[in-house]
Amino acid sequence: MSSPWYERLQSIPKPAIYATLILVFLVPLIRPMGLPLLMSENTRKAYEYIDALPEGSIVFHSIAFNPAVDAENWPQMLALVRHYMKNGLKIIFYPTMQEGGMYAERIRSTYAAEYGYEYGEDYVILPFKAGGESAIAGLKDFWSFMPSDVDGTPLKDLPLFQGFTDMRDVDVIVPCTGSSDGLFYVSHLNAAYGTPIIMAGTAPVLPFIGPFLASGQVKGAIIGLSGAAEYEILAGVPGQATGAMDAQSMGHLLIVGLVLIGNLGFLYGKRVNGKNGQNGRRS
Amino acid sequence: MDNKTIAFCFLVAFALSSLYAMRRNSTGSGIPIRRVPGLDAIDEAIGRATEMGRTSLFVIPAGAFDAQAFAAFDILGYVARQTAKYDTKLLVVNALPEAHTIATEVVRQAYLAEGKEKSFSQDSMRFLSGGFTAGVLGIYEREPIGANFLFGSFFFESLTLAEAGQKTGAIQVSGTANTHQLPFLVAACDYTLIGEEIYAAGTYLSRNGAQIGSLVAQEVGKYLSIAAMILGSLYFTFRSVFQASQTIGGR
Amino acid sequence: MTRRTVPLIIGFLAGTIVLGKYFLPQNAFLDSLGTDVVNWRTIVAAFALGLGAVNLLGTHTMRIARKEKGWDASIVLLASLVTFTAIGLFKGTTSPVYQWGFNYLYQPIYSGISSLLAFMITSASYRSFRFKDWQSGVLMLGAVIVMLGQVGIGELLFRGLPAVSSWIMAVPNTAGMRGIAIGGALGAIALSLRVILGLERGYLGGGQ
Repeated sequence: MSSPWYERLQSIPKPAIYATLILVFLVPLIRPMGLPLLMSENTRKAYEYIDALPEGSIVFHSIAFNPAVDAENWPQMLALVRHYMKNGLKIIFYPTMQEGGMYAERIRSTYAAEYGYEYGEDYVILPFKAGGESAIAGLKDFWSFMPSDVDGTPLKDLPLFQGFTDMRDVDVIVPCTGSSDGLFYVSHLNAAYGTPIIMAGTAPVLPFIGPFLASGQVKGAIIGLSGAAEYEILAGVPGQATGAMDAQSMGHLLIVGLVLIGNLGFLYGKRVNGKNGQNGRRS
Repeated sequence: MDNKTIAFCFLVAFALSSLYAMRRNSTGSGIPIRRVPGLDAIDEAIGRATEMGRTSLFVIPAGAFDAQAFAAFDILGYVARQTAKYDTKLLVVNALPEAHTIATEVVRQAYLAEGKEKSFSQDSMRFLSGGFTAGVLGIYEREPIGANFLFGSFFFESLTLAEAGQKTGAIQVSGTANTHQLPFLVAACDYTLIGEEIYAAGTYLSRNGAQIGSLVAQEVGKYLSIAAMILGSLYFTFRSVFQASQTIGGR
Repeated sequence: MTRRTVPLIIGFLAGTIVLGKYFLPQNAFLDSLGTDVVNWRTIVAAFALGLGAVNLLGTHTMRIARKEKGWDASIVLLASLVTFTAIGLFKGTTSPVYQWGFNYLYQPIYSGISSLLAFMITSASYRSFRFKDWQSGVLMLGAVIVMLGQVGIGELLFRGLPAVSSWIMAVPNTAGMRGIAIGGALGAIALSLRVILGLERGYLGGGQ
């Protein structure tokens, strides 16, 4: 005998859930729905801060992500970099994850030419340094820690570094990350020099940078794919994030729908049987 | 007083309370530690894996090699001693190259301490690099997992590993101080050590007097932080009220 | 004896030097020592990466030699490891062929595995968010509001949703996160002090 409907609502098979999710993602990607895009205060603050920097200001863009999270971080990085280049800002890329350098190389090989950016003069790629937090703390002694760029060229020979004394000359640090690397910049460089920080992070980054946004140590934040889409619109730079937002909206709606369905069965079952749902686990 | 002086005073207070508590603890007036269900569940999970003839899996994630990794080594040492004692198969999967040698040594020493050095196998210590998540998912498929321990600095992989681990039917005990991953672990695991609990795990499991001293210092530090927050809030609130009243008075 | 004493002394010295550099007034000798310790840490980490690769090489060579279960996958792993290392060493990591490997092999595979997260989040949310008592009800309601409030469709459903979602993230969430973060930081300080003072020996395999 099959189980009653309210129990079935609580135990929809995972394959069915996954298949529905694929459908829900695919349809809006093939046929965009044009859902409205919200503009968050954090993204607006980030945009306004970067936009107000005078031409020639130095942005220290840290790449602390890998392909695991690049669905969110790469569109953010691209929108930011295009905005820097549009406004004539100098960029120092610093990968703190092994794979990070490859995204900087992508900028060099494909996107720098869009704005006529010259390597060495307008932007520089620093080599990856292992060590996580130490690789960020080491920046405080910049010249002994970072003598050359990714190609092995001494930094003192590159035009961008003429007159550069140390990290105090950086106008803003932008960690692009799916981890807590951004906070190491807060504790080591913002705390030491007061260098402003704009965070670009995946969605789970928002909850833990909240206290630092509130304290003003982080000036603004671009969070998740939605943050990237918002930034693309604010900066007027085309990108891939805006197009993917409908799919994300529908994904969220599906999760909420499933939660409601599960609870409908659970609460009805509780009323009928006077017992807890079958999925109650410890923790 | 500048920030560094405040931090220094805080550290001194912290160290002094540690020393006091260590002294008090060594003279016999033991300090009780509250129960941490997540740590008690380690024995339950290993016991169940042993009864069912299944493997205990210990995962050290791909995050930073930081204090959390050291906390994970403490827990790993305990898990390894228990698995050695009960002859349960232990697999340790690790994504941090720095942690690999240490983890191997921790497990080897645990087996040695239990007189089971011959049971220790280098093969049970797996280092997985870029394909860490996929590698662990593969182990879930190939190995009959009875107890799944997930401890350390987790990032995006936390939910994938915990949710897929839930499917294996293993008892899952996890812990991280990465606040961004806590909701995922809490949702998918049976027990989760939250934030500071993971750092206290070594002390809780070893009941070492000196270590308990630092736990007491941790509590004292917490009270100091709370006091500083309340005093700071009051100070800045009253200062702004005072400044506002002066501005109005000046007009 | 030495096996344990030497790491304990190194831990004590490294810890006190870095702490001293931070707290004591500017001192050229201590500054340079502190910088060296941080530099050594990155060098050790870089060596550890190499050590990891050697471990992979050893483990999988043994697996192939013993024809253990899944030994054919080990061949693929070793072939990839050797090929990419060779390209990186001889052509450089900025070479087009290395970049091709990254863009068209490594990235899609890694992203594909990571995209499983979307599926896991969906099933975990469905399974976990149950109105068992008022606490789980609040948790569920908060999650639903934030999920909908973060995307455009939330505003279509209820105009005030994004504002409520922002409030949840900025006020109750930040308050909770601050509490956990402060507790976690204190725990990390306590553990670091234990390591510096040699009281914490779990990483050496335990013992007194």
